[in-house]
Amino acid sequence: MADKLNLQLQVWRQDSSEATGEFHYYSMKDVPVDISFLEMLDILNEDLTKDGIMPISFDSDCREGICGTCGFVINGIAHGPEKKTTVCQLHMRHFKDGDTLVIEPFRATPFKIVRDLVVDRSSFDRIIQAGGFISANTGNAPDANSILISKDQVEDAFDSAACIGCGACVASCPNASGALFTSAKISHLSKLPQGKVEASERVTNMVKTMDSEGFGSCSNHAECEAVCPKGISISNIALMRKSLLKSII
Amino acid sequence: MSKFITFSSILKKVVIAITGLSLFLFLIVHLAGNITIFTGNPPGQDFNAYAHFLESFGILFTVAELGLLAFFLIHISSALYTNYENYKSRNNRYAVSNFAGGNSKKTYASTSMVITGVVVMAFLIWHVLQFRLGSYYETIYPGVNGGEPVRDLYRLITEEFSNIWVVIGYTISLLLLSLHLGHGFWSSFQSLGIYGKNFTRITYSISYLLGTIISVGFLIIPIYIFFIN
Ligand code: HEM
Ligand code: FES
Repeated sequence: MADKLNLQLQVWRQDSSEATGEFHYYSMKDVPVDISFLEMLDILNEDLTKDGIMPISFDSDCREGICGTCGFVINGIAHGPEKKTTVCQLHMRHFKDGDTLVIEPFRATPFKIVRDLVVDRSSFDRIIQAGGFISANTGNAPDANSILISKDQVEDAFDSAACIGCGACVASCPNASGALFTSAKISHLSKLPQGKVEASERVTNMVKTMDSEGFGSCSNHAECEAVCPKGISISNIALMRKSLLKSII
Repeated sequence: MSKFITFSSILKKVVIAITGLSLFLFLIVHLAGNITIFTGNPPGQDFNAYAHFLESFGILFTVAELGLLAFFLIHISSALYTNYENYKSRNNRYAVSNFAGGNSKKTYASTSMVITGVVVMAFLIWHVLQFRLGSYYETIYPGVNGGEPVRDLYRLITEEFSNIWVVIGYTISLLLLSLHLGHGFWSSFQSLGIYGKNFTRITYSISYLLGTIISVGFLIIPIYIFFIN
């Protein structure tokens, strides 16, 4: 395998939410295969800056795949071709010399484009504010064994809690549905005894907010699960529906 | 929009799923009834007798027909409305779209539910005009309806299906129906919140097969009638 790549990039550039965006084309030479996708863009941005061109805006923070800040779409797949991988952890060795890469922001009505590849995901925060918490005052941390929970149940809740809220589920959904994110945030609480108390209000309020933020509904394409860097399962979506039906009946 | 419809994206999908599954059941019963096309001596006697048997329920039969119509209308209207809302949820379109593979269940069938649905809707209108509301022939069988005349639907289907264009129209519509059912079957359970690791794996793995069996089952009829004439 070549350890340097030549790439053609087609990147979405948009000055502001109101501006109309368009693709700009960049050629990259001798990209080391061991760097991450974001590092590749860093190199491009340095070159652009030297040439007096505005660098490409994109979000990132931890760059270790745990914070959920980064994310865009590469050739039609959110976070690119590798499974369970954020773009900050996606390495250039997964691409071939001569590849053309089309890079677009996460597109959805509730995710307004701020600039280039940066989108405003505060609609997720408002879904959390609607019920993604436990309102009881719990005082100090309780004794570890005061509430007995089986290992399986803990693991199950933790699988849902692994969601980093990056928004790839929305970006990849043909309907721009927020169902995977919302359901993961509902499930990780309602799968544990502390979260069961408010389960019914939580699901009602969070689903209401999800809808009013303008996300689409879920048609069960399960594309979200496939692109999710944490592999969050669509079983969470089924559980959210079941809980909502239970709260009505 | 009324409170009921705007209430939640989840309830709308529940309505689509319940009506969709019911229509699925109806298709199975309809297909089972159609087997009588292949039996009977003289040909058509069993089929006409079966149709007469259904009509003999009188008012109950009419109620069942109207109920079926209502299920269709509810399914179609909530599906179209949901689709319109989903379309609005992405105000700037991707230049490139793709299939992620892996655990994804996104297929050409799942992304074209509204297209296959609308074609099926057009097909159903045509189908009902063609047969239920089509030419009224009568025939007499000694043992059926006490020797009184019954509707000769068999003659109507042999007439209709001797036209190659009708057979082609049915073939296209029914193949698209198989795609609709292929994504629809497993998807209904997921929409109703019924999920199990094995349950979902099994319903998904048989979903496209079931859709194909049902549509090919129906397809045999026009093709069979076309070739025996
Ligand atoms: C023989 C008739 C039909 C049957 C058996 C049937 C069955 C189904 C089933 C089982 C589903 C899956 C429900 C779910 O995922 O919750 C579905 C979804 C759907 N149906 Fe039908 N359907 C029929 C006719 C139609 C017609 C005439 C339309 C016309 C527009 C239509 C439009 C849709 C759409 C758009 C969806 C997807 C909804 C979504 O997930 O967003 N269907 N159908
Ligand atoms: S920057 Fe934190 S997950 Fe990618």
